[in-house]
Amino acid sequence: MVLATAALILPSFLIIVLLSGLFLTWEGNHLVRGAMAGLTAGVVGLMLAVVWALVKKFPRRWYYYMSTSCALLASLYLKLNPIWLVLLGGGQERSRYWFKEFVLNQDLETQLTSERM
Amino acid sequence: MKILAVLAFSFLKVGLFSFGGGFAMISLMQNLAVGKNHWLTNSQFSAAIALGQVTPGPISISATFIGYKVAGLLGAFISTIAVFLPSLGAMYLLEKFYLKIRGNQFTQSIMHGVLPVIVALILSVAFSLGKENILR
Repeated sequence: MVLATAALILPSFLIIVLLSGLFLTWEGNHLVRGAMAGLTAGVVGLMLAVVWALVKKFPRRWYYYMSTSCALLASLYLKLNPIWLVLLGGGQERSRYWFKEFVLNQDLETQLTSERM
Repeated sequence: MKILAVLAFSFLKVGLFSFGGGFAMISLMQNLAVGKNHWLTNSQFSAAIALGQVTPGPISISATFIGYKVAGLLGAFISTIAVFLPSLGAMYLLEKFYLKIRGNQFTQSIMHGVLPVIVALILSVAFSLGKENILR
Protein backbone atom coordinates (compact mmCIF):
# COMPACT_ATOMS: atom_id res chain seq x y z
CA MET A 1 0.00 0.00 0.00
CA VAL A 2 2.80 2.38 0.91
CA LEU A 3 4.61 1.45 -2.27
CA ALA A 4 1.51 2.01 -4.38
CA THR A 5 0.97 5.44 -2.85
CA ALA A 6 4.60 6.36 -3.38
CA ALA A 7 4.42 5.22 -6.99
CA LEU A 8 1.27 7.28 -7.51
CA ILE A 9 2.83 10.42 -6.11
CA LEU A 10 6.35 10.17 -7.51
CA PRO A 11 5.71 11.34 -11.11
CA SER A 12 3.72 14.37 -10.01
CA PHE A 13 6.30 15.07 -7.34
CA LEU A 14 9.09 15.20 -9.89
CA ILE A 15 7.06 17.25 -12.34
CA ILE A 16 5.98 19.74 -9.74
CA VAL A 17 9.48 20.19 -8.34
CA LEU A 18 10.68 20.92 -11.86
CA LEU A 19 7.80 23.27 -12.58
CA SER A 20 8.11 25.15 -9.31
CA GLY A 21 11.82 25.63 -9.91
CA LEU A 22 11.04 27.10 -13.31
CA PHE A 23 8.14 29.14 -11.98
CA LEU A 24 10.10 30.65 -9.12
CA THR A 25 12.98 31.72 -11.40
CA TRP A 26 10.69 33.20 -14.07
CA GLU A 27 8.08 34.62 -11.75
CA GLY A 28 8.69 38.23 -12.76
CA ASN A 29 8.36 37.49 -16.47
CA HIS A 30 5.15 38.98 -17.85
CA LEU A 31 4.45 35.94 -20.01
CA VAL A 32 4.57 33.68 -16.97
CA ARG A 33 2.38 36.12 -15.07
CA GLY A 34 -0.19 36.16 -17.83
CA ALA A 35 -0.28 32.38 -17.95
CA MET A 36 -0.74 32.25 -14.18
CA ALA A 37 -3.60 34.76 -14.29
CA GLY A 38 -5.32 32.58 -16.87
CA LEU A 39 -4.69 29.44 -14.86
CA THR A 40 -6.11 31.11 -11.74
CA ALA A 41 -9.30 31.93 -13.58
CA GLY A 42 -9.47 28.29 -14.63
CA VAL A 43 -8.90 27.09 -11.08
CA VAL A 44 -11.63 29.36 -9.74
CA GLY A 45 -14.01 28.03 -12.37
CA LEU A 46 -13.09 24.47 -11.44
CA MET A 47 -13.78 25.18 -7.77
CA LEU A 48 -17.19 26.62 -8.60
CA ALA A 49 -17.93 23.49 -10.61
CA VAL A 50 -16.99 21.32 -7.63
CA VAL A 51 -19.18 23.46 -5.38
CA TRP A 52 -22.10 23.02 -7.75
CA ALA A 53 -21.61 19.25 -7.85
CA LEU A 54 -21.60 19.14 -4.04
CA VAL A 55 -24.62 21.43 -3.64
CA LYS A 56 -26.60 19.14 -5.91
CA LYS A 57 -25.94 16.36 -3.40
CA PHE A 58 -27.57 18.32 -0.55
CA PRO A 59 -30.80 16.85 0.67
CA ARG A 60 -33.38 19.60 0.27
CA ARG A 61 -33.29 20.84 3.82
CA TRP A 62 -32.96 24.44 4.85
CA TYR A 63 -30.31 23.84 7.51
CA TYR A 64 -27.77 22.66 4.95
CA TYR A 65 -27.95 26.04 3.25
CA MET A 66 -27.93 27.74 6.65
CA SER A 67 -24.85 25.83 7.67
CA THR A 68 -23.09 26.71 4.42
CA SER A 69 -23.86 30.41 4.79
CA CYS A 70 -22.75 30.47 8.41
CA ALA A 71 -19.48 28.74 7.59
CA LEU A 72 -18.92 31.08 4.63
CA LEU A 73 -19.45 34.17 6.78
CA ALA A 74 -17.24 32.77 9.52
CA SER A 75 -14.38 32.07 7.14
CA LEU A 76 -14.64 35.32 5.15
CA TYR A 77 -15.21 37.81 7.95
CA LEU A 78 -14.09 36.17 11.16
CA LYS A 79 -11.12 34.44 9.46
CA LEU A 80 -11.82 31.38 11.55
CA ASN A 81 -9.41 28.49 11.08
CA PRO A 82 -10.91 26.00 8.58
CA ILE A 83 -10.01 23.10 10.87
CA TRP A 84 -12.35 24.45 13.53
CA LEU A 85 -15.09 24.96 10.97
CA VAL A 86 -14.85 21.35 9.80
CA LEU A 87 -14.92 20.05 13.37
CA LEU A 88 -17.83 22.35 14.24
CA GLY A 89 -19.78 21.23 11.19
CA GLY A 90 -19.31 17.55 11.99
CA GLY A 91 -20.06 18.16 15.65
CA GLN A 92 -23.26 20.09 15.14
CA GLU A 93 -24.72 17.50 12.81
CA ARG A 94 -23.70 14.69 15.13
CA SER A 95 -25.36 16.40 18.08
CA ARG A 96 -28.48 17.07 16.05
CA TYR A 97 -28.81 13.34 15.37
CA TRP A 98 -28.05 12.54 18.97
CA PHE A 99 -30.78 14.96 20.08
CA LYS A 100 -33.33 13.44 17.72
CA GLU A 101 -32.49 9.91 18.67
CA PHE A 102 -32.28 10.09 22.44
CA VAL A 103 -34.39 13.11 23.31
CA LEU A 104 -37.15 12.90 20.73
CA ASN A 105 -36.86 9.12 20.22
CA GLN A 106 -37.30 9.38 16.49
CA ASP A 107 -36.60 6.53 14.16
CA LEU A 108 -33.50 7.58 12.27
CA GLU A 109 -32.72 4.57 10.14
CA THR A 110 -35.43 5.27 7.59
CA GLN A 111 -34.56 8.94 7.50
CA LEU A 112 -30.88 8.27 6.94
CA THR A 113 -31.41 5.90 4.07
CA SER A 114 -33.40 8.56 2.27
CA GLU A 115 -30.70 11.16 2.91
CA ARG A 116 -27.71 9.01 2.15
CA MET A 117 -25.10 10.59 -0.05
CA MET B 1 16.06 22.76 10.62
CA LYS B 2 13.25 24.40 12.56
CA ILE B 3 11.41 25.38 9.40
CA LEU B 4 11.36 21.72 8.31
CA ALA B 5 9.72 20.72 11.58
CA VAL B 6 7.15 23.50 11.17
CA LEU B 7 6.43 22.33 7.62
CA ALA B 8 6.06 18.71 8.66
CA PHE B 9 3.76 19.52 11.58
CA SER B 10 1.55 21.93 9.62
CA PHE B 11 1.09 19.60 6.68
CA LEU B 12 0.35 16.68 8.95
CA LYS B 13 -2.44 18.80 10.37
CA VAL B 14 -3.67 19.70 6.89
CA GLY B 15 -3.64 16.05 5.87
CA LEU B 16 -5.47 15.00 9.00
CA PHE B 17 -8.36 17.46 8.84
CA SER B 18 -9.14 17.66 5.16
CA PHE B 19 -12.20 15.46 5.04
CA GLY B 20 -14.08 15.81 1.82
CA GLY B 21 -11.29 15.40 -0.69
CA GLY B 22 -8.57 17.51 -2.21
CA PHE B 23 -10.67 20.60 -2.64
CA ALA B 24 -11.33 20.77 1.07
CA MET B 25 -7.58 20.76 1.54
CA ILE B 26 -7.11 23.94 -0.49
CA SER B 27 -8.76 26.06 2.14
CA LEU B 28 -6.60 24.63 4.90
CA MET B 29 -3.46 25.13 2.85
CA GLN B 30 -4.37 28.72 2.07
CA ASN B 31 -4.97 29.44 5.71
CA LEU B 32 -1.60 27.89 6.53
CA ALA B 33 0.63 29.25 3.78
CA VAL B 34 -0.90 32.65 3.04
CA GLY B 35 -2.83 33.58 6.16
CA LYS B 36 -0.74 32.34 9.04
CA ASN B 37 2.83 32.08 7.87
CA HIS B 38 3.06 34.45 4.88
CA TRP B 39 5.11 31.89 2.97
CA LEU B 40 3.32 32.74 -0.27
CA THR B 41 1.36 35.65 -1.66
CA ASN B 42 -2.19 34.99 -2.80
CA SER B 43 -1.22 34.91 -6.46
CA GLN B 44 1.66 32.54 -5.78
CA PHE B 45 -0.79 30.35 -3.93
CA SER B 46 -3.13 30.22 -6.88
CA ALA B 47 -0.13 29.28 -9.01
CA ALA B 48 0.53 26.45 -6.57
CA ILE B 49 -3.03 25.19 -6.92
CA ALA B 50 -2.90 25.56 -10.68
CA LEU B 51 0.36 23.60 -10.85
CA GLY B 52 -1.18 20.98 -8.60
CA GLN B 53 -4.02 20.69 -11.11
CA VAL B 54 -1.77 20.47 -14.15
CA THR B 55 0.23 17.53 -12.85
CA PRO B 56 -1.36 14.08 -13.06
CA GLY B 57 -1.49 13.32 -9.32
CA PRO B 58 -3.94 14.35 -6.63
CA ILE B 59 -4.41 18.02 -5.82
CA SER B 60 -2.70 17.77 -2.44
CA ILE B 61 0.55 17.75 -4.41
CA SER B 62 0.32 21.55 -4.15
CA ALA B 63 1.87 21.01 -0.74
CA THR B 64 5.04 20.06 -2.58
CA PHE B 65 5.18 23.46 -4.23
CA ILE B 66 4.74 25.24 -0.91
CA GLY B 67 7.42 23.11 0.68
CA TYR B 68 9.78 23.79 -2.22
CA LYS B 69 9.19 27.51 -1.99
CA VAL B 70 9.85 27.56 1.75
CA ALA B 71 12.77 25.17 2.16
CA GLY B 72 13.97 23.85 -1.19
CA LEU B 73 14.05 20.24 -2.26
CA LEU B 74 14.13 18.82 1.24
CA GLY B 75 11.16 20.98 2.19
CA ALA B 76 9.24 19.71 -0.84
CA PHE B 77 10.00 16.12 0.11
CA ILE B 78 8.99 16.53 3.75
CA SER B 79 5.75 18.40 2.97
CA THR B 80 4.70 15.76 0.48
CA ILE B 81 5.23 12.93 2.93
CA ALA B 82 3.54 14.85 5.74
CA VAL B 83 0.46 15.70 3.72
CA PHE B 84 -0.08 12.12 2.53
CA LEU B 85 0.77 10.30 5.74
CA PRO B 86 -2.55 10.85 7.60
CA SER B 87 -4.65 9.64 4.66
CA LEU B 88 -2.38 6.65 4.28
CA GLY B 89 -2.92 5.80 7.93
CA ALA B 90 -6.64 6.42 7.60
CA MET B 91 -6.79 4.15 4.55
CA TYR B 92 -5.06 1.44 6.50
CA LEU B 93 -7.65 1.65 9.26
CA LEU B 94 -10.57 2.07 6.88
CA GLU B 95 -9.59 -0.94 4.87
CA LYS B 96 -10.44 -2.94 7.96
CA PHE B 97 -13.50 -1.07 9.14
CA TYR B 98 -14.88 0.81 6.17
CA LEU B 99 -17.55 -1.62 5.10
CA LYS B 100 -18.74 -1.86 8.67
CA ILE B 101 -18.99 1.87 9.32
CA ARG B 102 -19.97 3.03 5.83
CA GLY B 103 -23.71 2.95 6.43
CA ASN B 104 -23.32 3.61 10.12
CA GLN B 105 -25.41 6.52 11.41
CA PHE B 106 -22.50 7.98 13.33
CA THR B 107 -20.27 8.30 10.26
CA GLN B 108 -23.15 9.37 8.06
CA SER B 109 -24.22 12.18 10.36
CA ILE B 110 -20.69 13.54 10.60
CA MET B 111 -20.23 13.44 6.84
CA HIS B 112 -23.53 15.24 6.41
CA GLY B 113 -22.38 17.94 8.79
CA VAL B 114 -19.02 18.37 7.10
CA LEU B 115 -20.43 18.62 3.57
CA PRO B 116 -21.94 22.13 3.86
CA VAL B 117 -18.79 23.40 5.56
CA ILE B 118 -16.66 22.06 2.71
CA VAL B 119 -18.85 23.88 0.22
CA ALA B 120 -18.44 27.11 2.17
CA LEU B 121 -14.67 26.68 2.43
CA ILE B 122 -14.22 26.07 -1.29
CA LEU B 123 -16.41 29.09 -2.03
CA SER B 124 -14.36 31.26 0.27
CA VAL B 125 -11.06 30.23 -1.34
CA ALA B 126 -12.54 30.72 -4.82
CA PHE B 127 -13.66 34.16 -3.69
CA SER B 128 -10.27 35.24 -2.39
CA LEU B 129 -8.37 33.91 -5.42
CA GLY B 130 -10.85 35.36 -7.90
CA LYS B 131 -10.89 38.76 -6.20
CA GLU B 132 -7.12 38.99 -6.52
CA ASN B 133 -7.35 38.15 -10.19
CA ILE B 134 -10.08 40.64 -11.03
CA LEU B 135 -8.94 43.59 -8.97
CA ARG B 136 -5.46 44.07 -10.31
